[in-house]
Amino acid sequence: MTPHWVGMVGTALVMAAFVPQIHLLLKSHKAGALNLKSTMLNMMASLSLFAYAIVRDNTIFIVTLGFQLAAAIVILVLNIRYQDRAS
Amino acid sequence: MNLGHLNAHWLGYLGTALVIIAYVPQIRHLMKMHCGDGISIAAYALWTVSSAFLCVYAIYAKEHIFIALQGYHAVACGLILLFGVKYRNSRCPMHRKAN
Repeated sequence: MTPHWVGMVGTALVMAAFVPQIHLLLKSHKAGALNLKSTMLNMMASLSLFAYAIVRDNTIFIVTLGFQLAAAIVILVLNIRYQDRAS
Repeated sequence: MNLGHLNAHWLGYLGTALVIIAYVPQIRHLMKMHCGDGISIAAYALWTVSSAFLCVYAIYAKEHIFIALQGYHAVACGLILLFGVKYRNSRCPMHRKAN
């Protein structure tokens, strides 16, 4: 496996990883112990790192962090919406 | 890309610092309250593996900030996974009430 394939597999796994967490939020309609501060900081971190990946001109990290930013925004919106809500 | 006087590396340092801080409240809640409510085990398992892959790629690409980022990410997600599995059926009083 070439290093680029290792990066691409990592990117694909990052993308796949958001599915169960978003699915759990949408299905249960509650954020549970999913920490709001963590979600918010993760979103801000993804934004900053996405900008950095663009500056570094690294395609693998641009795709990974761009997707991570989009998914972090979705999780943050759902987390705010379903905070302490009973199922 | 020209960011003027702003050293572009600071974006990477800032993002990495935010990631380091971001996982602290989640891990603290899991460890202190023994509460795994709302944590997707599958998501954190995939994030742990993906971070390991991306860390290997970052080492190859000699991207030092991404090496630190993905290395930390793998450890943090691994910890959340470990405690998420351990406390998957356990809820703190606040989240038990919400359920």
